[in-house]
Amino acid sequence: MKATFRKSMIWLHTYLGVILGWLLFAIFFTGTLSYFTPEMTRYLMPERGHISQSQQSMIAHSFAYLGTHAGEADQWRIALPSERSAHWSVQWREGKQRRTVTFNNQLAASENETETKGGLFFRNFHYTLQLRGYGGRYIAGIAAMAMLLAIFTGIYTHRRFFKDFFTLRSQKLQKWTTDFHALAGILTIPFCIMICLSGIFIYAIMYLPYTANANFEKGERGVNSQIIPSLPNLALTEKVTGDDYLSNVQPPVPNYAHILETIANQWREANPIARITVEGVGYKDSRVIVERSKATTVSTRADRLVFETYTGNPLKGYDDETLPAQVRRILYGLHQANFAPIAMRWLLFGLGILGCALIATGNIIWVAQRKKSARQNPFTLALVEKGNVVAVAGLILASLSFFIANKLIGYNVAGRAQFEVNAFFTVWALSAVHAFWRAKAAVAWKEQFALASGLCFFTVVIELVLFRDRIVNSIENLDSVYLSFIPAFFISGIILYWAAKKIGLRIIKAEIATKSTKPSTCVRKEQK
Amino acid sequence: MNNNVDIALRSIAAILGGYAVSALTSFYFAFIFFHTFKQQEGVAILSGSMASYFVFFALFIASFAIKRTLKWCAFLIAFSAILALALPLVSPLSNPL
Repeated sequence: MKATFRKSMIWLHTYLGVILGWLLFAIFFTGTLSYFTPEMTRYLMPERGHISQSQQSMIAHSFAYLGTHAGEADQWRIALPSERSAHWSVQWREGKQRRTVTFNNQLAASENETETKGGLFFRNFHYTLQLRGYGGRYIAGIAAMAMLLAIFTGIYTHRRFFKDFFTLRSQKLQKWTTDFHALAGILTIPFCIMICLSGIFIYAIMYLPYTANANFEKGERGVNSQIIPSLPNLALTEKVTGDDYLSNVQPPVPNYAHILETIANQWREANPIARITVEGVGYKDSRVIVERSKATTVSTRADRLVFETYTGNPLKGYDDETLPAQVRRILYGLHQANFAPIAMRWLLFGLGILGCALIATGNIIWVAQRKKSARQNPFTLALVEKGNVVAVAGLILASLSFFIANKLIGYNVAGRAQFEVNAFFTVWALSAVHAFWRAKAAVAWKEQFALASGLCFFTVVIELVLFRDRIVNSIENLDSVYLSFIPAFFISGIILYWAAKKIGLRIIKAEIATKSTKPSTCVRKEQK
Repeated sequence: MNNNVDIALRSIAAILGGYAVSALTSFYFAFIFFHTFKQQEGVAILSGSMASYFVFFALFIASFAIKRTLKWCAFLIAFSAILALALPLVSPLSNPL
């Protein structure tokens, strides 16, 4: 290959980056946005306002509702709102149909929510690339492994950590980009390793299913059913009657007062419950599973307590998971960062954005260096140069269009969730057309960043004009989650405007430089 | 050797060779974990799969770092063949150690 190991690693770093850089950027960018998945869903669904009810009263109201409307169902589920999601709902099955009812702060029930993919669109896109069932998750896995390899080879490429960390030459853009790439790389090494490794390990068996297939009839499912602790099957024989228990228990509603008392002694934090499931509603052997909020654990599996439904007595719960299964869960939990309080979430978001900048600058450096070389194939150069615009600026434009489509499409329009997704991909495709149509990539960068900046401000305007009532309500309730989207879009708009302006200035400078060199060449020729 | 052929061979060795060897080693890792650490079958399979990603990583890097491409390819083929031939010894996991 190359003369030394380091040179081989530099070569590998370069080509891994160029070949998979766009894909990595798309995954990193949408993944970074996914740190705020429930918040985005809340922002995109006007009915998800602040809920100030106590958990106790929400549980009482939910059970009262289920007792009246779903007395015949086998299973009930109550999802309590967190500060992030503000989503309070109850769910049950009627025959084969699953029914979900949501409640607002005034305890009003509703079965019609805004039809939108919400923040889940970005979350799902970042690991399925909208190709679930068509190999999307495998492509994401390849990208994660490529990123790990790129980090390793990048460490060899930029081995002078301290020197690189304290170097940022701002005079020349190309030098600044190279220095920034190294600096961002150093800062994000632990973050990127954690994200990529956990990304792979979430689907560890799916990517290498052969051992599982050889030993279990059901393959990966068989492995999971063995390693994920479960409860014994319920033997539902005898129906319960009100006379069997104390007067305060009115089946089918569980003896939740007693259960909540026990929980309050074990889980001391405020609002500890995330979800309550009642299995075998109306039967003597029925059980209640109470799931704790994930705010207190790094793992994706929160604590669960199990109780007899109508006596409220605790039952033997789930077994502990084995160490390797816990490692996978903790890595999964670190990847999703459900445990992170708001400041840490923003820190992780910042690291994610820095990771995006790392990938983007890597691809830009490749183009800048190849431009100097006369041997470079002009077609490849143009392809990568324009492709960079589409991958970075195009994706930002597409994401903003998703938000705008959500805000502008009427709430009664059938299939509006799909329209939002279509808006995302249509704008991305248009960005590609624009970038390849423009002769100079710099002009495409400038125009797309300027448009993205405009769209950010437009989003703020839409919010201020069309959702005034929601803003007033949120201010009254101090709903910081919803309100922070407005300044976030405004600041993003300013940053994108600044970027567009910088690129614009560079274009003008370059034009002046070419103009000033042209006459002098003519003069020299005349002199000859 | 022509540079493009060299890169193509190394890429094949890294991607296909790396995947084949790591898939095969996942059987051996699972077998070792099952017998030495007395893990449950499912747990041993999960641990074995996780460990074999490090094999893939190492082989990928090695494929682009080793001096002689053809020798490396030959080694990967031979190694995969041995691992594949010895597979009945470790699969299913319940085979004796």
